[in-house]
Amino acid sequence: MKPFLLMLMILVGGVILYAQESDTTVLDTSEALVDSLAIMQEDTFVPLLGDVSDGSRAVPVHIIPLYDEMGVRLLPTDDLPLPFSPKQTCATCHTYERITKGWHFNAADPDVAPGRPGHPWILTDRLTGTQLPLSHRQWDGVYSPDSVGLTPFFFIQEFGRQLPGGGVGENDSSDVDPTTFLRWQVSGKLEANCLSCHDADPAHEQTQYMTQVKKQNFRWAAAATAGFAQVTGNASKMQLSYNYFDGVGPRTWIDLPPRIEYNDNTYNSQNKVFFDLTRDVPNERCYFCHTTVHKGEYDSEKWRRDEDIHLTSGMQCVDCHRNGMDHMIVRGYAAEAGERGDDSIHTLSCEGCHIGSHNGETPKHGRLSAPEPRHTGIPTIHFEKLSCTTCHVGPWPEKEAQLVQTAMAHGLGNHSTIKADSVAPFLQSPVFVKGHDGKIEPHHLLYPSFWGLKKGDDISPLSPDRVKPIVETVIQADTLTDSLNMVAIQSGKWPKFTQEKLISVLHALDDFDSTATPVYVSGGFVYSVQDSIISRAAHQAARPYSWAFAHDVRPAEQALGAGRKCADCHSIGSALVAGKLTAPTMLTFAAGEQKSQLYFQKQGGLFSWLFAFTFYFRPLLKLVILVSIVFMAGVILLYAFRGLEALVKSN
Amino acid sequence: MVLRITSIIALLLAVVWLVQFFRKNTDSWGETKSWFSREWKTAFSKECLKNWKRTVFFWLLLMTSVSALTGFVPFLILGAPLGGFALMLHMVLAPLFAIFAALFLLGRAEQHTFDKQNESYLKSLFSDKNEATLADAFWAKFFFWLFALLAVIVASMVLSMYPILGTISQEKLLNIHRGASVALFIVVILFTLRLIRLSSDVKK
Repeated sequence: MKPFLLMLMILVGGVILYAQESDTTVLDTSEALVDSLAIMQEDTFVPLLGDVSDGSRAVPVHIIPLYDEMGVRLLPTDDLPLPFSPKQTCATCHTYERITKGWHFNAADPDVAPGRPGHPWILTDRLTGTQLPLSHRQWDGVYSPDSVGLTPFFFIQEFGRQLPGGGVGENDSSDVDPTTFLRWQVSGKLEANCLSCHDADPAHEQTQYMTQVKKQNFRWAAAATAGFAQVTGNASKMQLSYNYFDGVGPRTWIDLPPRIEYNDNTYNSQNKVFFDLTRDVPNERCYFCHTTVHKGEYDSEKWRRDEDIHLTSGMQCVDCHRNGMDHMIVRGYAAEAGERGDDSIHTLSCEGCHIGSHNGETPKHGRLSAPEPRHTGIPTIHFEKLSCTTCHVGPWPEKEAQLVQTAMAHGLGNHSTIKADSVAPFLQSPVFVKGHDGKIEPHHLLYPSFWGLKKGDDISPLSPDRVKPIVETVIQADTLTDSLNMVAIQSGKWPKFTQEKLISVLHALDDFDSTATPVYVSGGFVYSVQDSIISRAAHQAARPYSWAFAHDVRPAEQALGAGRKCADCHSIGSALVAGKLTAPTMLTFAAGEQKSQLYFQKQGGLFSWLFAFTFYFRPLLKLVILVSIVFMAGVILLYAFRGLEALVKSN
Repeated sequence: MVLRITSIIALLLAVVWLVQFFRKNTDSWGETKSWFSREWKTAFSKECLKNWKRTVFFWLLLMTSVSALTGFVPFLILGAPLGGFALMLHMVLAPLFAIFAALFLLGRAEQHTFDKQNESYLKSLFSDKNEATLADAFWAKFFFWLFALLAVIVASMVLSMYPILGTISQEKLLNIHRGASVALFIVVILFTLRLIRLSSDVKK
């Protein structure tokens, strides 16, 4: 009988251990990212005065001298005022090279692992129906900016509006074209603009950054955002031989050379300048590049909408998205701690902050008084299958994914924004996608749309600038359509493209490369022409790119499951089961592909329908089990008491 | 992970024990096969209501096996949470398991009450007395009541679907459910073997 006893002991032990099992988090470790972080923390770093805090919680006051990009001190008596250089001015006390290794600056650094797929830059050209996801980070589904001719100079001119400078903005050596090289000399580098985030001065004007970047006034862009300086002129209109020290150039009313003027009271008696800088970056600074606008929000006034519940409660973005001097800002997703090899940042994710381990260790969760959710009545399988954001983040899901605009994609907050709901690029959201950690999470999704050349099975995109003259010619062949199309383009939409127009453009693109087939990628398909017949095919290049988002967080009372309980998701007509999205296209003769939300969740349609169907009789199933438990427990108790009775009587 | 390994080891030990059991008792394999075949026929015959206790036990075995298959394969072997059709089957079969378990207890509790013979066998385990002939009867009853307890614990997973328990308690409940299910599965195997041996002894 000993084997029996041994086995029983193991069984009982197993049950007890299960009961004691805690919610330990398995962290996904990405060696590449850990390695890249290690590179940044090499021992060669010698801290400057402002790199290391002495622990005081007081805010250091920045009354400091200004320096130009050559490191020469600026004075109010200078004959030709020059823009201050953030690099030279701030680098007196802070190690610039260390700061510019952070997430906001390191996209093009080959030593940095790409990390979890994020918001790409979207090359948008409404006339040519182009929306192409770009990134220097090697995420699946995005294209390198170089592939469409966006070398660093042109990349920052296109997207510098919502970049904090540094990184690509200073990568002038990679532009080998002599003209571009000389253009860099005229424009200067786009240094990291510390003021973009840290300037608490109410007069800080970030929109000036876009204005100056568009004019190729890279050298002047950071200073232009400061409340105490004004920049005029346009470096893009200057000749290649222009020397900014001369301050001379063509003197037409629009083609003034770049000039900066400082307010009279900028300098104090010691020729120093006060910067109202803060370590706790205000939310409004983050919002300039990280705002999201959902469908219908243009129709309603701001007071009708709520912000993220954390911000409404008085928190700031940087309370969770923290960083040290290395500016590796915590992105806040659950697996990040493992990927970065830093367990301490786990408490800055949703579950790390709100749930914790309950292992009897020193409590690490509940920072900033984060309430611990009870999730009563929600089986734990949900937490293994879904990220927190699925139920708590974004707009309430609808049957059709909504159009969404973001600051990075649509240049929100800048002067030339088109204020309408439906504006290219057409991002759809929320789309519930099975993410890289196997959990379903809400994503923004972009179907690529571009003209390209196909060689073998590879499709390489064409720069819209190369296609634009051809498309313009084709569109203008039809005067009525042309005028309608122009109205559409001006209102942020794509033109209407008929079969004939598509054939004309694709034929014209034949001249680009005789060994390649011109194609138009749109609506989830690739279109090509052979003998004036359009063919449509599926292709990897036409697959959508999506990335997770985690804001705005709705209050618990408005989470999925709080309204109609299980039926919010587990019903045949729910948005998660029956929801769908249609790929946008400018083609009039072919609709874009339509995909269900289930497709992106990697769930079978039949299964999901059946599963949702079970919820109609699930209350009955639960009742049956409960009644059975009552009977079983009754029998056990009855015989337990009888045994007890026998025991009592035997004594 | 530690607990998953514990479960796997427990199941492996059960398999090893089963193999050894059948190797030692060469007649038992044949008895087991013929028992299953007999019960299968009874369960699907017109006699099933007349022999309702046997039928209930057969269906209970079937429900336990399918529930174990749909639950153990994802969790123990793949290390993944239940999902897809396995999850759906697991949940739809759960009420049937509960019904058959309740009927099984109601029908057989009386004949599995411990008596004086069982008591003397229990005492012999801690002395030099040899009461091996009473072993099967004792262990069959012991496993019956162990099954009853574990069945209640396993079925209590239904509480997670009512707004009673929070996340932490639910996680504990799920882990108890998993551990108890492994234990219950092994207990059912052991009980069935004892039952088969006892029934063949009675025939002989």
